[in-house]
Amino acid sequence: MLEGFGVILCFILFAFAFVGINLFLSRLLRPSRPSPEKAMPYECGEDPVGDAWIRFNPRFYMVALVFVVFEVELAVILPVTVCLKSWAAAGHGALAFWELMIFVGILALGLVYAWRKGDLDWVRPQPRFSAGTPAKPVQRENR
Amino acid sequence: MLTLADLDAIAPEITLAVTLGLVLVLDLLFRPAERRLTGWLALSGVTLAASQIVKNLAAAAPLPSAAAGFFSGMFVADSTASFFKLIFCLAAAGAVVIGYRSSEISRARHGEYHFLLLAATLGMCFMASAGDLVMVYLAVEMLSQASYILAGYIRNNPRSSEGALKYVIYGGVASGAMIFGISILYGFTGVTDLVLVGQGLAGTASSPAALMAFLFMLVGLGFKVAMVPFHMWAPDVYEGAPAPVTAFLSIGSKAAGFAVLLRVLFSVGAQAAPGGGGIEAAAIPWREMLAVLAVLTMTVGNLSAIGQRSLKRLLAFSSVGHAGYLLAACTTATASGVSSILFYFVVYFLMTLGAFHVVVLVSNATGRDSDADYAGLGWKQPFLAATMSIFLVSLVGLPPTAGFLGKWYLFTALVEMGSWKFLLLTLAALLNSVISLYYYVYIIKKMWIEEPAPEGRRVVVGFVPGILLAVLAFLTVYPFGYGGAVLAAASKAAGDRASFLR
Repeated sequence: MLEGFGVILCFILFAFAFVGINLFLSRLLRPSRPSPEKAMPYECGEDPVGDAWIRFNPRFYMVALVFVVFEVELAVILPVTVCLKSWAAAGHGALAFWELMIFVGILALGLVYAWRKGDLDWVRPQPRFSAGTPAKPVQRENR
Repeated sequence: MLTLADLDAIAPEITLAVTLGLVLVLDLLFRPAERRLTGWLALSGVTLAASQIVKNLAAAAPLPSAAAGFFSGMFVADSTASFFKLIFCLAAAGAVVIGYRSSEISRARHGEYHFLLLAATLGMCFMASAGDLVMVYLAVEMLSQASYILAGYIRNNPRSSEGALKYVIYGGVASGAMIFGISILYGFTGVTDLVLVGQGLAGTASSPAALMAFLFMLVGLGFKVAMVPFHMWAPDVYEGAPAPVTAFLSIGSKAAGFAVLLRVLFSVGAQAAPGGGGIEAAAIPWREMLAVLAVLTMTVGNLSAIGQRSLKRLLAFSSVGHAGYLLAACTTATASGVSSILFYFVVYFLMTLGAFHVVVLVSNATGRDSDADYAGLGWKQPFLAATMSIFLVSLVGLPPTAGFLGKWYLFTALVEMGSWKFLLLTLAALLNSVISLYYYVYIIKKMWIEEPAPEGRRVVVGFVPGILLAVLAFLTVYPFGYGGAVLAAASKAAGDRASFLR
């Protein structure tokens, strides 16, 4: 049983060897002329300025989350389209269809929720807190 | 293929899912001040689900049983799972009720609060019924995601955010470890169905990789039940989360963790394959490991609870201690062990919900959570202090409270095993109960003997919370009226097998 994992071990060893050998070979071949630009951490072409501990705009995550709704929809509907024919042939076409509709309905509810809560508005007139009275901060002992 | 029997088996889950969808829609339709009303919908949904569970409970076979598998074995609706699901429903209903007036949850966000509670409850139900490793993982994640958000529910409180962040990070590591263990098990046996994994393991000789897979699984599940050394999140999360959420997590999440732990242990271990159970055949010393972890869990939990100034933190460590007692009972693998665990969770629900309810009321009045607020409470508000004392005494496990009965059955199940190892385990649990006496009585002493602080504010109890507290306290202090019936139901749910490993 344990020998079955030997293949995986080979993969791991090969992965390490591949990187190591290639780095070593390029080390032998390439000229070494370091410059400040080259020594800089790679940040997709941007100059990394300042601290990494800054506040990011959470709206990016909102968009990513809404994207997940569509992504999941796609990932599940695609396989169903493949086997829907065989289901329909077996007389379960309606069942499969309505199952899918319920699924899409649940996901659509997620989209409606994000929409209604205003998470799809990219430009916002003013900072908006959760509607109603904001919660009073609960004071704790300083320990 | 989908059948009507399948739909009957997951009727409670369907009810919960529909309810949480409706709660979400109502939350969108209601004005912020009205959103609290979604609690009524949540309560009725949970009640309906509970009634369906009771119906399933009457019909189902006890754990582990091949006849109880649905959806090609993905979903197991045996009576043990149904009993656990009742406990989850109780915990959810309790969290809705004591969260209704909590000042820690702002009115506008009550809809989301109920939605997340129901989502977590749904995840717990799937955990209890998971018959497949993939299902185990998905259900654990479903519970976890909802709990992470609930833990950080007080938006502008740094402690709440800190607790939630720690929860996410620890939880991510634990679930990563668990899925790694699952992948090794799958690599061994080529199947993910728990029963088939057990049979596959039974065919193998002893192997370090099987032990490793078991250990990794134990990390993930140990995290959920707050087992030492994976308990580090508990105090921070329990302290940071709103008190109703803390009560919900400490009852429901722990029970769900135990439900999965029992199923994984006994489904993988209990197969009738030639040569006995899979775990035993793979020579995994799971009993010894669990016993050591149980003793560690109760000792670390109880010792750390000493000297805590925050009531939520104290109750968090106490819940770690209780996880230790329950883990000890897991090592028996007998029907009486399982039924004592089920019974204990019912009792644990009563006393923990009661204690947290008092914490909610007191922190509503003072806006903080410190043992100083309890000084002299007995003089000012004898009702509140008396009920709290009852819950604390029951958490220690002193007679005649429900906590005593719960511990009595746990320890009886251990002693019944006969061997000196189990007696040693019982002794450790008894010693730990003595340690726990100190910090529970410390609060009682504070309430009844110390002078009240002059600037202390009066705690408003209200009519409904007062009735709830009185009922919980009565059930806790006088368990003889219902204890027998609950125990009978628990033993029926656990079945009558002498051992799950045969």
